[in-house]
Amino acid sequence: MIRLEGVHKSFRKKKLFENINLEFSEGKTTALLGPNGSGKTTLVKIILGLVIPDRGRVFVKGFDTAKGYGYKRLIGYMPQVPEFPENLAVKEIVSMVEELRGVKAKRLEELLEVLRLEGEMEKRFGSLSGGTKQKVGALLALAFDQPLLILDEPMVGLDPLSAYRLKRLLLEEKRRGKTLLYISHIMSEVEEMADCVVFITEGRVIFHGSVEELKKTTGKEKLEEAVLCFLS
Amino acid sequence: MLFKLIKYELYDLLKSRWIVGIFIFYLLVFYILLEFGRELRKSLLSLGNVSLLTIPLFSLLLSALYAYHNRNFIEFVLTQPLKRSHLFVSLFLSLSLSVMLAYFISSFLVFYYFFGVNFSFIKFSILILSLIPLFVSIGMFCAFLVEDRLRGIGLSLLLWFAFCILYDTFLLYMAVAFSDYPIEKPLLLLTLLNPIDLLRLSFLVDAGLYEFIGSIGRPLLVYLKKWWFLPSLCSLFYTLIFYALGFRVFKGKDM
Amino acid sequence: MLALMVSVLFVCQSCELKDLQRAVELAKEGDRIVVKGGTYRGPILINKRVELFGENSPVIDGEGKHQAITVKADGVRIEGFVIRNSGMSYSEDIAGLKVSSSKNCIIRNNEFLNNFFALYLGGASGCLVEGNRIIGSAKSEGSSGNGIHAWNSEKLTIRNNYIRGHRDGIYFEFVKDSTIEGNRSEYNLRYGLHFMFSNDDAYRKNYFYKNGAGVAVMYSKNITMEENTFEKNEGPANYGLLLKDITDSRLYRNRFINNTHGVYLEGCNRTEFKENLFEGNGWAVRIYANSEDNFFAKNIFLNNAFDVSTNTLSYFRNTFEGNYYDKYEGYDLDRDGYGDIPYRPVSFTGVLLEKYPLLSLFYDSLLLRLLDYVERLIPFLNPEALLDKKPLTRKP
Repeated sequence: MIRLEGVHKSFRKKKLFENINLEFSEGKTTALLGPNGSGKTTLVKIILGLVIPDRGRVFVKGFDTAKGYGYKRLIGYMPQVPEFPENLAVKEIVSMVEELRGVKAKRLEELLEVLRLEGEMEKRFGSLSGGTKQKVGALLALAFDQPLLILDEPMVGLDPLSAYRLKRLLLEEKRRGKTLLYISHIMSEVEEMADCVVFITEGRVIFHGSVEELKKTTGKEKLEEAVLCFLS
Repeated sequence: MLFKLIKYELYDLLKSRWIVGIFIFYLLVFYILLEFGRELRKSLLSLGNVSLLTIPLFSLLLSALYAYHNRNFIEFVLTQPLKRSHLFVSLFLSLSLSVMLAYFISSFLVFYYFFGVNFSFIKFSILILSLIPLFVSIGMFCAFLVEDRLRGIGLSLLLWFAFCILYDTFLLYMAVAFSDYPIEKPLLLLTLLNPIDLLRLSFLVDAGLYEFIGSIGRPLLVYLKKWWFLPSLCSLFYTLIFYALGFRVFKGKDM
Repeated sequence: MLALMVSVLFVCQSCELKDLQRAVELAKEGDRIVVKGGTYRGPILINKRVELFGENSPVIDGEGKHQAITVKADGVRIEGFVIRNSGMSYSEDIAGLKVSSSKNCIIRNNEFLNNFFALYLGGASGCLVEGNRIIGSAKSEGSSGNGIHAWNSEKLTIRNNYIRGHRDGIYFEFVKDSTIEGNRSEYNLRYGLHFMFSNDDAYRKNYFYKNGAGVAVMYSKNITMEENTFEKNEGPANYGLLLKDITDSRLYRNRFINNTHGVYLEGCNRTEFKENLFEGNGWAVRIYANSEDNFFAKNIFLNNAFDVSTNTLSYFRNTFEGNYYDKYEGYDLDRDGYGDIPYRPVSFTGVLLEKYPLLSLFYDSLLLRLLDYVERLIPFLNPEALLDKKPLTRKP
């Protein structure tokens, strides 16, 4: 589904990625792990075309991302901190994204209900709480039924109930055969959802495999402990 | 696609505190200025002075602040299937249009109240309005060039300061330091190169004041009376430059 | 019964007398000649005391070659003629009507068209010039003469004339004890009114509009200027009123409107300026360093780029007291009608421009306005003497 070939990227003079080669297979859920500042978000942004790599190529479902923006139709993206024009009402934001994508949102009613957003549609985006903004971000990532979902710490900032509901939604997407790529620091969540784990530190991929393989490699029972092995 | 983006951005901007603030600011200031000096030409001159100072400042600040404030939104839009250039154009157009609308409507209302419709005002408006896209493009350029918000705003304020004061200070220094040399022509040329000075002079010429006090460039400046829209073309030229610079930065920018 | 002895001669195309010059020759001292409509060729010489009356605007034509009428006698009266097309000369002062060395002439209600000099008074005394329309077609200063030119004369009254399109509208040189009143002089190439070496004269209620260089009063003493209007004299060397080497004179209730310079003082001493209005001028009052002991009171300054300007900061000996300035921002707590803090009518920008005229390019720029503002807060170069200690807080 996603393939990175020899991706290099440096900011100013600092090298961030050196020769990253990765492949995320279709239908799998991959968690992107790594310490703060290891470049997880940047990696995601490279896939999304927000950050332009110095060298190397990125393919999404066979499309070279450097050659056109069409592949973005396949992606539903939920940013870490969703922000929209603060004077637009939530429903206006939804119709804006509908117009930008040129398609109507699917399952809107259902998503609104699950995310408990029915009462927020008329409100100004700027007046919403952080958690609610987060939910609007999730709504827009899921509403267009894209085959690839990229989520940057989706649960952070949500209350336990909302986090649970969102998790259910994501698991359902997974069950429906979607490819999920997400960044997380919550290991229980990773254990519950991810098929694969990619561990990045200092700009290099130091592990790419299934959760089971990770446990086997490190010889730890718990994922949390296994990850700690990499960090120390 | 472009128009859809502009529609929503403009809609957001027109409801924003900044634009409402600009609207009310000019409504009040123009009302006060016209109330105290009801003579048309003089009033236009003082409106011109206030606008020459504030319009660049507001346009710069608004566009830089908007770009910083909506950074995550801009990022989000870029993950949607559309061209980067479209987003840039739409931001530029909706920022420019919103300030232009706020300024034009408030000044028009006040002006209409005192003088009714009149060609001098239309002329005046076209000249002033042409500054808005210029300074919006400069503000956007700063905001996309400098990652850090405070430093970006600082840079845009510095540019405003440069256009409004530093440039003139430099020329004034030249005029004094080289007063024994024939520097009239280069000085005039340099002055006309600054769009704010150019507008100020064309307002002075239009109000007939420059004929009283001006000793240099008179014949040339009289052309400003005939070709009154020249300053707008000059502003447009600079707008294109800063727009191109900003676009270059934006196109290759890592969000 | 002197009247019975005076006879009236008629001149017209169908009369017995067809030739005007012949009629003058036939006339006795004190006779009246009535000239009917028609065109009469100049030159006409009037060398005896006669009264010429034109009926239906008879034309006396210099045919572009010579002086139309020359008066060389006392008590001559010329009324109701059209005097036109005098010759032009670079060496001689040819005029439409020249009066030389005569007393008590009356020139009234004539029309002067397209003359080199229109009316020339040389060595005249006690003459009245009234209600004439004088229109020239001056192209350059060298090839044109003055509208009303008076030289070495006295006790003249120039009243209610209209003058346009000459070199100087009215020119006085060595003319004393005379009055110029109610005239309108506009669109002349050089000065609307030009005074040289003429003492003890007064001019009142005249209107000077859009003359090439404004009005110049030079090298004269004891001049009274009242209720005149100087308007729209625009250009770098253009003055509403240029006062050069003028002493002991008075300017009361004049109006200076939209001129590059309202009044320009050069070597002007002991002159009083009261209740004049200066509105919309570039420089309302510009005082050259060699002017002393002038007194300005109760004048009104409105909308001038610079109210007062001078090229000297150290030596300034003129007094401003109790004038009204629209730029004054003081207050009047004791309510005596005068502002409680003095006003400095010279702005920093004014001083800068005086020294570096190039800086006019930056007039009204934020930079210069800031400098002015700072200078007003912390005065650092104003001539201390140039202070109005009692600025009026209300427009009189």
